[in-house]
Amino acid sequence: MVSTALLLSFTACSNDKGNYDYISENKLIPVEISVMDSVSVKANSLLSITPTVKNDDKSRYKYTWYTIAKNWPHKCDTLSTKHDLSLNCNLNAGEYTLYYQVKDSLKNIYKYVSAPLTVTATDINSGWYVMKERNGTTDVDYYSMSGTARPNLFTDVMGISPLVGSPVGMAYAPSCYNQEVNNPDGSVTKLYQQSVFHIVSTKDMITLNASDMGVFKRLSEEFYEQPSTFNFQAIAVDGLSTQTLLNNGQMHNLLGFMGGIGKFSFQKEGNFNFYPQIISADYDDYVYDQKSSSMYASDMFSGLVQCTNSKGSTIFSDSSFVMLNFMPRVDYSYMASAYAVFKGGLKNKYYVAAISLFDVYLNPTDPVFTEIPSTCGLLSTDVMAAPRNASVIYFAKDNMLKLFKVATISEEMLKTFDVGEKVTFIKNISGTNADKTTFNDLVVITNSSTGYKVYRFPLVGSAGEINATSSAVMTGTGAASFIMFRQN
Amino acid sequence: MKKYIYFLLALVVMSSCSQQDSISYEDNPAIYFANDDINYSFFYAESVSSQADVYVTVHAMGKASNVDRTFSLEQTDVDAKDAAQSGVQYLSLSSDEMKKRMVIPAGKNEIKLAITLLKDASLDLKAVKLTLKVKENDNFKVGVIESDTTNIVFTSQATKPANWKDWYYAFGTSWGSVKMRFIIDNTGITNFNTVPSDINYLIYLNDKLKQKIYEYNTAHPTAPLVEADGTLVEF
Repeated sequence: MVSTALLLSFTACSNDKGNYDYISENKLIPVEISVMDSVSVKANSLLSITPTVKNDDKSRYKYTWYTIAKNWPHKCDTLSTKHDLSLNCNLNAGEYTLYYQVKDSLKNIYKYVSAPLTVTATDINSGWYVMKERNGTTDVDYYSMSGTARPNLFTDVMGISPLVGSPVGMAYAPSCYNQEVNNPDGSVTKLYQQSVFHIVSTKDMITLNASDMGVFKRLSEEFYEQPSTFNFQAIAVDGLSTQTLLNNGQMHNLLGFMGGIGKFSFQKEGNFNFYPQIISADYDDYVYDQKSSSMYASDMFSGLVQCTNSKGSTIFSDSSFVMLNFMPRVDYSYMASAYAVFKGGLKNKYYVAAISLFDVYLNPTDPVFTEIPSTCGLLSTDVMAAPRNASVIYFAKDNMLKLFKVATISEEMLKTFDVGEKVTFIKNISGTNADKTTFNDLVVITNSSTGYKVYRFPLVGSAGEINATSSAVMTGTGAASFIMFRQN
Repeated sequence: MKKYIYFLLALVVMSSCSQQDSISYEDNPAIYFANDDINYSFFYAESVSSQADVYVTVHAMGKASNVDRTFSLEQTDVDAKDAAQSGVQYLSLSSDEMKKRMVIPAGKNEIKLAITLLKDASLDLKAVKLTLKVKENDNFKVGVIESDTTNIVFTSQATKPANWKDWYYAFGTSWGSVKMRFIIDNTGITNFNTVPSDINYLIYLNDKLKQKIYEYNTAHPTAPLVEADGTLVEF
């Protein structure tokens, strides 16, 4: 009986010629809403967005702007039911998703677009952060998207002491940091999924609440157990919210995914001397150990793993390899890649190695070595960087900015800055300007006796060329050596 | 008439009951244990003392007295194979010190009685059991029958915490006494009853222990840290 029933049901399916009328989505509701960019706004200031809507019909559609908070309990707020959004933003500082919904009430169907919305308690949010040294201490100058400068964040804006030592780097960790706050009555409130800045100098570090620039932690609170030596070298945050810190050649992690109270762990097992550079991918961080001449991958699931090549051995098995420079080409990606400049000690030869870094398997493919002459400019400087989309390396010596083409093993001059200016930092940075145009720039910092200058040279073409005609866009006092761009 | 007789009888019964209740505890004070059984290991002791006190609760029924009252205990498992040896593995109940302790003070109904465990070398190889029973004397009868005995199991060996799997992020899965000593020496943790809820803290412990054992094994390249059976200590 059961088999008969099954047979009947199969027959019913196979004989079904279909009697459905499918209507395309656009036929049902022809309205088309353009993608919204991420938005950052200071609390209690004007939030204004004019959406681009094709096939619009204001007599027929109803419009709703609403937000859902990213933090628990994910509260939903309706901001407006007007076509365009223009209001005084009274949301609390925090991270939200902003939705714009266009609804055909007659058919009871709708379309929507969404974008990240950051509400800050301070006007210091999106923009450029320049780390600089003055009198043995590190401070940060902030430049808004519209170009307004707020120099000396620590000493002049926040009224706190600057970091001890020289600038190392800073990293933005979005919505992945927990913090305990001691209340006046002695109770403790735990803040979840906060967005923070880690700002690191050679001897000091600080963690700031990115929403209001309040201090979450100073050096003495950053670790479950403090290292015996402070010699910070690099900081990075990967796509899984793992915050990685290199100190005195060793690695410390803070797994944002695992909750906790925002403290860094003990150093990873081993006796390393990591090169002061972290290549962050989507799921892993890659570092190079100068003692074993091998690459290590660190992820939240496997810990620290020595990378091997396709033959199963460590990829730089020649222990005489000396890393001269290590820089990301493509980072914050599933398939990250890097360039390294090596000296091959035994043969006394020099190489540029192109290294692909695959996340899941923790196995970089075999690096591609290009031998370079001992007179190559890459060997006489520490200041270099690679763009995401071209097989070139930018490097600088004193006031000269040059380009090294890996494929042809050739160099060319890109720009000579004024005498007295010395290039201290190069990085390819892309994003969206205040006027919503996108940019893909080579950002260069120079120092001179009068202070620092920051230049933004747009990349043009596909071979790494730049338009080097623009003048400095940011200037300040002190000796700058690091810049971070925060989109949101 | 019959109705009145029942009423009078009831009155007599009730009055006799109420009088006897108050008399019974005054005339027959009794004691019992008001604690759970105890497990103790010198392995987890923070000090290196050769003895340790554990505490049993002795409760006296009835009204408190205005004079000190001694009470008596006895070991009932002396013939058992794993019985603790009086005077060797614990301070004898007949010692002057214990006699001084076995007193319900005036005005009190309960004391925490210290039982002194002695860290005899024999405890390195086994766990022993001390079964204590309240014993009738001039001051006290035996109180609650179900609570007239209490057990103290003690040893110098490491004991595997019952919640060991909950410490996974910090200590991994394997367990052994050498590993436990290494954990205690390097983290200072001696109480494993409560597992911290902060997983990043557990990962910190794990990172630290991995680094410390790396340093130990590097310093002892031909003799890495192993359990008695040769199993490599790992985290």
